[in-house]
Amino acid sequence: MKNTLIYLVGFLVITLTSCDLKEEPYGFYSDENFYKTVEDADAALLYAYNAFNFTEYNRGIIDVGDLPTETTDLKPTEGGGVETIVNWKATNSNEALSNFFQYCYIAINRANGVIQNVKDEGFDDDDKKRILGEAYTIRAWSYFSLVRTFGRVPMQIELVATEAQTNPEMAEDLDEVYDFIISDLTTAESYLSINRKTGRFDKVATWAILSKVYLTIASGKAYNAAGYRDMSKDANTMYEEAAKWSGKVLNDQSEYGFDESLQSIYDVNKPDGPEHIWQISMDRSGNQPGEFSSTPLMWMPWGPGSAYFVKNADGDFVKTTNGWEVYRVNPDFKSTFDENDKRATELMRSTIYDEEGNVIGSVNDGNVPGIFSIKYLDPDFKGDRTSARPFMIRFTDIALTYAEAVGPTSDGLLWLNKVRNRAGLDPVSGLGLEDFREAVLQERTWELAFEGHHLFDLRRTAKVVATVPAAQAAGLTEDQAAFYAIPLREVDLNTKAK
Amino acid sequence: MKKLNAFGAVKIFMLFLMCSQAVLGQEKTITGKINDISGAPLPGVNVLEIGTKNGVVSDFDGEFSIKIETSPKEAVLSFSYIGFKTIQVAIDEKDHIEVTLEEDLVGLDEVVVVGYGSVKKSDLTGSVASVKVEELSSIPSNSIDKMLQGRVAGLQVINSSQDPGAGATIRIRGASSFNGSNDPLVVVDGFPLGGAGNLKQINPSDIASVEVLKDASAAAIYGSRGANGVIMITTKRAKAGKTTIEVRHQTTVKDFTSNLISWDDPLLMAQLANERSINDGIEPVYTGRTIAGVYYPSVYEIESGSWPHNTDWGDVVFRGSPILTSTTVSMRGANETTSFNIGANYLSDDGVYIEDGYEKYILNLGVSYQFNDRLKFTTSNILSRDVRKNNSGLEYWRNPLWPIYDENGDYFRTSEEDFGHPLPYTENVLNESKGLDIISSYLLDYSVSDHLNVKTQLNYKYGNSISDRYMPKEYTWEGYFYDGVGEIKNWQNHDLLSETFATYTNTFNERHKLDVMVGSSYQNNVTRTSDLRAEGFVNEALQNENMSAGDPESNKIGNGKQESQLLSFYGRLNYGLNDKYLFTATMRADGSSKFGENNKWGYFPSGAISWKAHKEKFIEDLGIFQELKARASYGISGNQGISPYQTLSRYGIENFYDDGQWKTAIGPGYVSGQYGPDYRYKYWSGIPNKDLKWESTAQLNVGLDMAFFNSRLRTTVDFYSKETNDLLRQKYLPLSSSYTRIWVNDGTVKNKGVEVSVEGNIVNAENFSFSSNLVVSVNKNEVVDLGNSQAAGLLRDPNTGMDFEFRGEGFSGFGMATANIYGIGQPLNVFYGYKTDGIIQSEAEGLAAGLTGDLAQPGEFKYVDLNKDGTIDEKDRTVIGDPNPDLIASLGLDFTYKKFDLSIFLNGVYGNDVFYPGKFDQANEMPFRWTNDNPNNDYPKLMATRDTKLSDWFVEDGSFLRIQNLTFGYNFDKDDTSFFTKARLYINATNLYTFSNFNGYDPEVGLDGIYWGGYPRLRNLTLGVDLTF
Repeated sequence: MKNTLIYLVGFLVITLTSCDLKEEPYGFYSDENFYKTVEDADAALLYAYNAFNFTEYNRGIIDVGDLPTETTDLKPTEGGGVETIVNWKATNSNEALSNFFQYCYIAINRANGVIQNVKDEGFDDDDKKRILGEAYTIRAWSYFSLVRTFGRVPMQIELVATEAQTNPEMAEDLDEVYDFIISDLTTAESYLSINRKTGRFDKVATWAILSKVYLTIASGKAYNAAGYRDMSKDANTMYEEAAKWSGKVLNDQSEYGFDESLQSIYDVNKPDGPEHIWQISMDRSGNQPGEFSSTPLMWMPWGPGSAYFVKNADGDFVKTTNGWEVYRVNPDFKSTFDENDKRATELMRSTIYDEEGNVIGSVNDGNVPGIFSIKYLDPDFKGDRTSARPFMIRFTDIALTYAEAVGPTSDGLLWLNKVRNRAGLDPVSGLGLEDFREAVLQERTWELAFEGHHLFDLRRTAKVVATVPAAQAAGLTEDQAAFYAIPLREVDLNTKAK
Repeated sequence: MKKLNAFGAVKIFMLFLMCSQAVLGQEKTITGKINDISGAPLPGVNVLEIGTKNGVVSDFDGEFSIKIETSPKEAVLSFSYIGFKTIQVAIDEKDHIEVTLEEDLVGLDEVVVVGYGSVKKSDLTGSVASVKVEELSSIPSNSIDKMLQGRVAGLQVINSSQDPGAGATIRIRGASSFNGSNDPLVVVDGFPLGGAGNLKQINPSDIASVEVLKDASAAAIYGSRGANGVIMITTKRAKAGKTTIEVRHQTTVKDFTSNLISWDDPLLMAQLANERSINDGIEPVYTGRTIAGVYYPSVYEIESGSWPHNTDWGDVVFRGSPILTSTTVSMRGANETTSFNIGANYLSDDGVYIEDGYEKYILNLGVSYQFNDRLKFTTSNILSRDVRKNNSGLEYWRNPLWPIYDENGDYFRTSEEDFGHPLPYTENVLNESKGLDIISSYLLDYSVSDHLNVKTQLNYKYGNSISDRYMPKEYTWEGYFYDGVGEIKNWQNHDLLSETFATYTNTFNERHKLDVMVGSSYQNNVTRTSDLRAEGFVNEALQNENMSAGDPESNKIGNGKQESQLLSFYGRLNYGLNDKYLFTATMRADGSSKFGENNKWGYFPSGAISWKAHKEKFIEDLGIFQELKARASYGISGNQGISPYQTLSRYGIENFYDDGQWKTAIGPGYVSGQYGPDYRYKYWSGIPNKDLKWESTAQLNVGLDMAFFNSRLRTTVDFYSKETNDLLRQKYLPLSSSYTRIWVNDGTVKNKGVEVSVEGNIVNAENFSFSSNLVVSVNKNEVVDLGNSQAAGLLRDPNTGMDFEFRGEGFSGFGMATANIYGIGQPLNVFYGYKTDGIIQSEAEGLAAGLTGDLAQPGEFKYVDLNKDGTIDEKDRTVIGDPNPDLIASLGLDFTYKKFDLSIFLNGVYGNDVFYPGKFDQANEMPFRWTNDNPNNDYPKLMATRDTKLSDWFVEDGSFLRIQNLTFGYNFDKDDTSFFTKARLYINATNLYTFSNFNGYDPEVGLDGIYWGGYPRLRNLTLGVDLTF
């Protein structure tokens, strides 16, 4: 019995002295137990990429890039904030824009986590450079998305680990944002090698983004666009930089190239086609929205309420899931295409068919509410789930970037006419610099329609109100149309976001 | 336990003194016998020679023998025993004396258990209420918690569930936390077991006393867990004396207090259903047509009897008379060195639904061993096993036109997707959980000296439960959808407490009484869970017995663990001057692993003073008061609110399709929930808050204890004001943070109230006694602050400017509107919605009221255009009801006549509102609908689809007065039979009758005031017998 006493007292002493109130996480990963290995860092990198897969970012690509322009119409009953984007009445409490804003920062925060933690880990130098290079690119791309949409934004440059870090300073001006993007991309460019993986950035992607960034600044300056006109950059230098980096994409690598076949660019089963410098990786075998793509459903008519057939680019009938018919091709925009332009004849449709090829609905008979784009088509769809990846950076985008940057040189004309030729159009020639650039921009409008580019092209050339009837109707000036307002929740809660 | 330990310690102390002073000699030995009034010997009585430290304790037969030190002429002996009046008897040179002790009705010298010790009731400085446990013993119950309803001022007990084995909601002095627990802490024999509500492991028959610590002075000693008050439970222990065996048995028959409201007349049901459709321009249902494969007979077929079915589903679904039985056998005994108690309890409780039930077995064993005069070891062990077979929720509201069986003798189902038939559900669904709990404690009690005592104890609690579920393909929606669903859920909890505290007691110069306690404790709590789920069973014969028989691709597994640690240091100082002025100061420091890194330690001080005015000459001279004691206390206690790991960063896991294959992606931020239309938006959580800490409650209490008329009338009055700060809430973050919300300490809630209890021994004659007990409490609570209105995402009432937030789920019947809000300046959970002013009688009236379209038609609700802007919209909403009662009261009346006793207990709640969302769907309300022939101002017309707004039409007064208990008993004693020492036979009725204006069955609903419908409340009739051998 005395032993019991000794045991009890002993136990007491041991438990009291060994007591450590620090908590060890169980069953979930945390700052405490993560980033310990290269595998951890790779998983964290993929987590950063995955921010682009969420509907809130993913829908934003077209909701921001195409919907506010003359190219795209919206289902009249669609809500959730996009209805005010299409008619240029969006305020700072617009849900779709607030979501797009937040999800850019989710990608940034995840990238910041990788950058901050991997920098100091004792990993192999090659691993470190590979991981950091991609993380810098993710961060740069996210800021590029933000700056083109909202202009000056809060600069969140470290992993948010305390409440005190949730009040980041606004960038002073566009220079600060763009310098940050360029610095990240330059670092990434030096770290990465050419190594294609669908859904991921490699060295060529950093060149491509750099060229787009420089072109945006250059043209913003040249066209005196709001925000850009105050930047301490020289337009010509910027065009030269844009030409330099896009030139590297065109000439210094062989992994990516110009796809001579328009159809194969949009073949969902060819993500490794030469055009695709960066796509968001999605696959129909996923379970959650974001793992799979619903982009085709945004375009496809509801039809009979079940799957039907459409004529694909080469004229064959392919089966497709029916959709929500949210986006429609603006008929006036369609009429701007040359009647032989394959980008209209092969990639836009207004009729749906049954298995035998009988028409079951068309724009004419009113059973299809509008013309729809078939750039996103997945004949192997599984219900709502498709593999139709958003085309983020195509080789053609960079070829036209180059052409716009260098102007009507022989190389410039060569690339512009390559694109026209593929679409079945005659070559152009004999244009002065300004007209040439207009021709390139016009070509971009046709070529890259519904791929999330057009609004940014209009903004950097200060032509939103001049081009978009809805923006005119809303009574906006070019300066007012240049950027969306910082979302209300940010302004409300971030004391520095004023 | 504490009470008895203290008592035991005194005994040892006495024995010790006796031994050590025996040598001083010249003594004379006095013998004697001590009886109670009935003549039964009283063992364990303290016998003390006045003016000396000489004392003994009476033996099993009530006999004692003491060697006196003073001269036989002057010697005076004092006899004291808990629950009896202390008397002094002069020896007067006698050798043998017979002493009769009277029971102390006043109870001022009763010892009351407080945290880490006990104190004489008369020396209390804080607000502590004792429950007379013996009064509860006739009430059948699974746990003590439910039985406390109405027994203590300021304690609110809500029994909203009638399921067997269900717990209750317990609040002391109102609710004060939004996201933390509001349950009082339950401490059993010194072991803090967690939140009150369902203390099923302790057999109510084994409980010796229950104390409720209400104010900060009493509860702050429990530091970060004391903010909601503390319920101290002490279990029965053997007393010295002969071995006793007790057998208690109760059989309870339950029945509904009112008839089930159902469509006794299916013709009327069909007619009204058709009227509903016709009013809305929809083709009526009961026209002899087939809709989605279901044939609906026409009104003519029903009327003519060619559709003969009229099933009383209530009859099919409910048991005729569910029975609860509880049997306890216990044995207690003790000798000089060892005492033991052993008990077994079996309880079986039928649910009101067929095949629904609860069973529980408890075994307990306690042993106490006295090593020597100074050292004592005590252990107690409880083993409890329970089984819940759940078959609740069957559809007693099923359409009476559907027969039970079809023409082939199979169960009649309207279609393949008709999962409502209660019988195949009952026969095929498995839904069972089995629990096992072990509570063990080991205590060493060491008296270092006459003044210093050290106790060290080790408590351990183990809980385990396994839930089995199988949802078959054919008869359940879930099983149909997933091709059969099998589940096994495991839950396991370990709770270890190690505690040591020392108490120093001494009196200096006969006027300074000092009592100091210091101690420390360490508690470690670990919960582990694992869940298995399989779907797609080809063969269902094994149910969930072989989970690998499901489709492997749809298997789901989950597991979790939560661990928390609490390290505490605490102390208390009691100082009494002249037995008139009492001071108490307590302090506790809690270090909790749950708290954020920067706030690991919390400090909880309290202080109290008390003045026994009745000991002052000038009060004594008034001759009015036997007690007049004023008390005041102030202190701070906490609520741990936070769950483990809430202060840490947390990463999420997602899948990324990386270059042709799925890979796991991990990183900062995870989705903690979804919100918005179709739950399309995500809450991003996982940002750590290293500053996160306890919610803290500062409480001021002022009280007065009085006793008059020779202590036959006793009153206690308390006023309190409680302010809870640092409420644990989620605050929105800027979008650029990438997180949606963060847990912070933000916001304030106040509770203020008055508690009065009056006890009277009104008649105390030889054969007849009558006593009464009235308890009244009033609590007002108010949401004072919810933090920054933008950061908190608060809404603003356009008419009053009140900031508020909705809480709870939306109601589909009201366009997903939510009923309850937290509004600044309002009590918790007030209802928010539209006001109505009767029913629209003409379209012109509807249009004038600001309504348009369908809602402006005659027979619709006439909503009030509150802001007078000519339209009815969401800006016309306001606070339309308050679920918090203005007053809670209870009255106990106890009579004894010779060997009979009768007690009546009434319990009432006044001034609360109840929200009754299903009010217009009931068979007893619908027939009163508005029609062209019967226009009225009380009920709207029937409409198949209507944009019904959440309005005060659905809010009713929830006040009620209930005859909660009535017990009638007969006590046999030795004269009646020599076989038993004592025997008692009684009948008890619980929930005998309720007075209320509420239109539903019963207005006793949860704290949010929402009445979910259901079936009538049950009345319990119990026949019980207690035998003591």
